[in-house]
Amino acid sequence: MGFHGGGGIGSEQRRGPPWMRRDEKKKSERKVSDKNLLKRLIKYIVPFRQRMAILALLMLLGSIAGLLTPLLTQIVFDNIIVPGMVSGDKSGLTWWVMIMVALALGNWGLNYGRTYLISWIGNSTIYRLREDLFAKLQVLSLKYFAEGDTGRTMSRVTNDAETLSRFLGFEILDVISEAVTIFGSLFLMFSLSFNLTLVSLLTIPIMLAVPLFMRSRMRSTFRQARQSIAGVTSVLQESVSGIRVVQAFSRETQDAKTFDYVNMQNLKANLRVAMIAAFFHMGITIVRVAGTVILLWYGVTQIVAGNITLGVLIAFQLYMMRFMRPIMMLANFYNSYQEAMAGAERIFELMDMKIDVEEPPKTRRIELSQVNGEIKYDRITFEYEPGVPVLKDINLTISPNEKVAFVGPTGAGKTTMINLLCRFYDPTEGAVFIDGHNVHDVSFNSLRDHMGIVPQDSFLFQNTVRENIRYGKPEATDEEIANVTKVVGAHDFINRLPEGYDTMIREGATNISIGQRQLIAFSRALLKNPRILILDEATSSVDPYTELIIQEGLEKLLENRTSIIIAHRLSTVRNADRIVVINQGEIAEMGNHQQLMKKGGLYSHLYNMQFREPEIES
Amino acid sequence: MGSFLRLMRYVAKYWHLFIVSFVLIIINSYLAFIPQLVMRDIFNALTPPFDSTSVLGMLPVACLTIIVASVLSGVFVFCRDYAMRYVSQRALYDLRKSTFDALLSKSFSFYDQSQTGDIISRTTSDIEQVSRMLSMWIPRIAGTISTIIVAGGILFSINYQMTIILLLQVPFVFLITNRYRKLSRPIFRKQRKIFGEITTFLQQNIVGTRVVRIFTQENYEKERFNDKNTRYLNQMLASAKLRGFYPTLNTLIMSVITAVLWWFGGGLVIDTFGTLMEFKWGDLVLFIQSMSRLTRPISFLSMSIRIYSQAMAASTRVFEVLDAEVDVKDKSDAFNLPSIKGEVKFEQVFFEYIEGKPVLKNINLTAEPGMTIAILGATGSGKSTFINLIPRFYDATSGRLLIDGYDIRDVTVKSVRKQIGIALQEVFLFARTIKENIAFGNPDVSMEEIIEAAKAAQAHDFIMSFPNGYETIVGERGVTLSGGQKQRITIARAILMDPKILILDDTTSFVDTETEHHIQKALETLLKNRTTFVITQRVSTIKNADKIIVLENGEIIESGSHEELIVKNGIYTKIYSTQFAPQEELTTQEIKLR
Repeated sequence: MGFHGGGGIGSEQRRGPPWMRRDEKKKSERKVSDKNLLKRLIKYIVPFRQRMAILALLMLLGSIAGLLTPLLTQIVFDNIIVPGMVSGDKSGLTWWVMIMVALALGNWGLNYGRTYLISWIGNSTIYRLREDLFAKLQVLSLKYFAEGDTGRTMSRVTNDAETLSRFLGFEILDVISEAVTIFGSLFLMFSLSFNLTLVSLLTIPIMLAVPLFMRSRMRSTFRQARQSIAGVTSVLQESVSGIRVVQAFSRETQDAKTFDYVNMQNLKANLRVAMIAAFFHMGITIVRVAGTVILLWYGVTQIVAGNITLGVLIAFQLYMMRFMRPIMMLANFYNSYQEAMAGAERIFELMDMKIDVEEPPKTRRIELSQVNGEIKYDRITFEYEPGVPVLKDINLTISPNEKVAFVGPTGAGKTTMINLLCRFYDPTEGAVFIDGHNVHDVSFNSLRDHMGIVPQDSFLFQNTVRENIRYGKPEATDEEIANVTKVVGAHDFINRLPEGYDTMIREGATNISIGQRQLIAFSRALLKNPRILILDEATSSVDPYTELIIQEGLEKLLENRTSIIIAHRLSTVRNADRIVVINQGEIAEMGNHQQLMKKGGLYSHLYNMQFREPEIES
Repeated sequence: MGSFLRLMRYVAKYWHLFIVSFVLIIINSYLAFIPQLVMRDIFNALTPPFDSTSVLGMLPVACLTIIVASVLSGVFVFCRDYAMRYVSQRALYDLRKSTFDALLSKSFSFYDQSQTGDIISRTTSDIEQVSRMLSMWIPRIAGTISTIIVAGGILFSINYQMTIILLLQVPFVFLITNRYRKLSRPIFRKQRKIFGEITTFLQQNIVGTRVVRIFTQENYEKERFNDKNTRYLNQMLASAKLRGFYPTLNTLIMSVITAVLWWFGGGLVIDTFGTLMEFKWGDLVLFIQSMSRLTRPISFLSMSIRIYSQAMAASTRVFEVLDAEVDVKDKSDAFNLPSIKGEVKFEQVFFEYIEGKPVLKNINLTAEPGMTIAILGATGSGKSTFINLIPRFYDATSGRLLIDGYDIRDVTVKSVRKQIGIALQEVFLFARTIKENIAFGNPDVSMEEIIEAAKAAQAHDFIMSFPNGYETIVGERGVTLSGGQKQRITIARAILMDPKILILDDTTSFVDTETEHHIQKALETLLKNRTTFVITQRVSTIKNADKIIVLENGEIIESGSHEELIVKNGIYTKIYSTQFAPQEELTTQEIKLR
């Protein structure tokens, strides 16, 4: 993996996150043309065109006001003070000062309007981008989430949206107004004194060359510093997350050593940054002095020769002071343009992502108001990757109120069966029917409203226990919640939590055990009182003691609904009406516990392995 | 103030660099003023009617002075910048090092109460903020003060009225900046909070997509997101209004004061022209230029209080981590636990996380060397706490725990943990190679031993199925392992420790029967000749245990071997009959129970 990484291999190879490299690559080889991207971007600012026009006007006026100040300085010197020294007349000065104050007030108003408008346009664009992106995330097929990683998706909605809106709302206009400043200044300077302008522009190339020359070095030094801090964070993150293991194995000394190493790398990188930044600072100061001295020398000789006045020289000094920022700004514009385009591409890539599983159009969408609970898998074949079938020609009918268990080794296709039923994926061939309706024609909401699923990973939101349980039914009362939690045996432990039902679940639900997570997810699904209940390894991490409580309550719960149970622990499934053994994407055998045990097939093999073999061996 | 003094201790080591920097700062604030003074002289000399030759004669010296002063100033700035950054980076390094060391020594109770993200931000961004204050703000504050004094003094000697007008900006800038700060702070705080909410919400929505879809809450999620999004927009606009008003108000005040300087100064030039007390235009230019040069430092100075208080808040957060109490630590006369046989004894052990809420009550238990003890109990009955006491992750609130007759509080923590192997419930693997993960407890072990341990844990075959074998990197950036595979690596890790006492808090979640069978076999190897405490759902492990204890609300309600308990007809019998026993073998009595 190390070779295409470019410079600084070594530690990068281990710590450089692969996505970073991918992103960097992307920046240089964009797939969509700028023209296309810009066209789409324009759509986002079109609604704000009036405000954009006003903003452009304000910025232009601001630039012009900025250009006038040095000129006014020249005027006060040459046309008011110098004649005043002879005549003793100060009245012109008062007028002049009043103009300056009026200009300052005007500028203040301009600034206020400009700041507010920039923020308004920029943030409104962010708002709309985020809204659109989030809406897209709600309809994207699960396939995307199975592949993409969370961090990258998030950065599109946060960072990329921010970069883009800054570019749209501000940077484009800023560049225009800075260009006005530069050309306006040049025009005015030339009109004041041609020779002096040429002389004062002498050092500009050097001023530009210094940062350009140092940029690549600075950038690589900064990158090293960023990488080294990423190293510090990653070691830290790992040690803190794994602290229990670290302490259990008494690895503190080694870990301290590892940390010291990355910490030291960071120190060294930071000191290099300090060195180069201080050096840069010094270089700029010295070049600037050269400019000042040249201007002073030439200007004074010109004054002595009577070619220009002191006012002109001072006006020039002021123009020079205003020159640097716009030039740097223009030099950086290409970068921010590139950055914005890369961000735009990532955002639109997400927005354009194909939705594999689409809801039927409203006109021919079936709304299931009531469901009996008959499920039929009709000649189902499914492949995640073309050519690798996960399910092969499955035919299965589950009658209303039947209790069915799916059993089989990992990767046999059990969870896929459920994914197809909920229409998280569409089958490659065949169809799934509920009460005789092809799920393909049913609206998502009415389909999933009738199903309660306790998924494998039992994801909980960072919210209170109560809110988590009533996630699918926000209007549920505390009493209803308690009824459900009592059945699944969660009530007692929830009450023992520091704040009972109001305890906040932390990120990753680290403040409760896996078993407890499963019980809360279980309660959440039951609260909906679904016609079809699906338990996908719902109690795998629940201890036997609690399992006992659940099983006692469960019988009653499953009575009047269709239920599908996936479990490896066969004690949970042996009471099912029918056990479907799935192996390598096919139904291997089917029947109730007694029938299957008698048959002596895969099920009885698995069963014996769990309950008998260890006894025989020992 | 306490935090500040304590922080100073970290930089005190580099006091000589500090002094050098301050001297440089003071000299520099004079050097930086020289070009303006030189120009003033030249401009003054240009007052009509001037003498051309004498003006031109001044030029070489003047230009040379400017160059020398500026180059010197540049070099000084360079030295000052580097010195200060050096100090702050060293302090950053030291502070981070001691924080990390502190983190390693904190007890489990500390980690129970804190969140990973919070600890990490304290150790990275908070420490960085502190270091930024040291490297940037301290020299800048010092520089500003010294500039104001030096420049102010020189200007005052030229014309005190003009200097007073010039310094009028100070109270204005302070007032406006403070007002702005007061008004904007709550808005910024809200912005940060809402942005945090947006990120969390987004992350949750992405990670929990399946749940959102299953419960058909897409619209609800969209509403909630847009609600946060709108609130964020409003807060951003509110702050934009303030930002448009106050900082630009500062600019307005500056412009007005500059205009007054022109008016008053210009008048002075005209009035005093030709008199002895002449205020020349070069002086005027000097004042106007000083005005714009002082503006930035002064507005900066007005922010310094905020920067100081932010840095202090950050350092307080850092010191909180450093100071968090370590509950479990070696006694001063602690000795190393000698090589043990593996007898573990609980004597009237009570434990509470929160005072008055005991999690374990009066636990009495003796595990002979080599015994296997299985622990059963509901979630929250105290099982995990029970086993966490043995390696001294927590200390018992009362009662004592003996290993081979030694009270574990009398010996060093390290020597206890070195002789205990633990496989925790939440299987944690480091983002390193499989080899490093297995050899985590003893990194110096040979490859043969690692392979042997992996074989015993039934992990060798699947490890070899990866292209890089034992060098395969696991975790986020490497290969994703299944739950069962991770578990077997954890077991290999424990086997390699070859401990006399073994603790298994294990779960078979997401592990299919076939894999479980493998793990089962691995465990049999592992349990031999070791005192083992196990929390498990595995039938045979429980059944074959020498002693089974059933915990309820922190108390042992049943204990004994399988044979002893099954005839007791208590809770164990019930659990066994519903879940563990093959159905055909249930006795009539057991069936009746169901």
